[in-house]
Amino acid sequence: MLYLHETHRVMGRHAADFEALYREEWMPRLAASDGARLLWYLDHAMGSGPSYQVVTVIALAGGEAWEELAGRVLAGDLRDLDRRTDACRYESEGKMLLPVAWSELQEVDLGEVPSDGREHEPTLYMQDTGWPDAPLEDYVNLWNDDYWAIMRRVPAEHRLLDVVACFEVAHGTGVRPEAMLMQKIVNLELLGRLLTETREYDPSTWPGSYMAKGLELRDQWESKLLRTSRWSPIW
Amino acid sequence: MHVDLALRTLPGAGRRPEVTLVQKLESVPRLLHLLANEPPPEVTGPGSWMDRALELRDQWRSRLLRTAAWSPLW
Repeated sequence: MLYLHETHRVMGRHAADFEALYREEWMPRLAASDGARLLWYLDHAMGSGPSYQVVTVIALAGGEAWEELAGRVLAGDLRDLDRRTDACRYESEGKMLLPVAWSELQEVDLGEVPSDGREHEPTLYMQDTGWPDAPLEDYVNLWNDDYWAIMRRVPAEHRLLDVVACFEVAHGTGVRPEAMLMQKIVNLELLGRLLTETREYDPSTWPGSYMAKGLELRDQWESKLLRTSRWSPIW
Repeated sequence: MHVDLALRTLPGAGRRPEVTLVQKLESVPRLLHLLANEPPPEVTGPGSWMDRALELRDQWRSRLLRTAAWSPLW
């Protein structure tokens, strides 16, 4: 399964129109095919980064579904919708993601993904993108062995987040080497401490051990705080 | 939050037009609420300050910065 990840720089005056196009047109029209579904619609949380930036993730059953979607956008029934969407944004940067072996998100049952705009409370995600200067596989394994495998054993009341998915960029569709974590924030109070408290990390105990090991593989990454819309199919 | 400083770039010394606000957070719980929830209609709806500000700009960037423990100002 492929995951089409797009970061949209939306025009502020058209932000509501842009969201409506995804909620009322992209989501149901993607669902009209067997091979594509909108999964996430996420706003970059105000106060933590760029203005009017939206992230969308579309699940595609495979290469044929990608080709079918591209055909619909370029010369098919989604062409006009894509043009109207372009009129609401400055640009969109896309890449195709593949789940790594240990990612909890692997295949999605596309028939089970809601496309009716049902509402729920917003959820905050931390999207981490990293660019290692060591082999990508070593970096991805570090995220599992020294980060998530340990954090998942922390009692829920002391856990900041859950790693929902881990991806790498499919060859030829973006920056390589690059990997991405989609992490659901489950404790806002702990996020507040992470943002505001200065902490000395002890490399002999976790999480300091992870921080120390991580520096052997990379020192370049970016965290984004993204909030699902109330109708995002996955939240 | 409290706006401590409002700055603009001098000619020849960076990007123009550009202005910078340095704002001290006075309530972390309110920051967390801002991050985790949609802005309310009174902030973004017709006639609100964000709506009117769209006549002037729609591009900005926020950064959350934390002072070092020894920073002369904090």
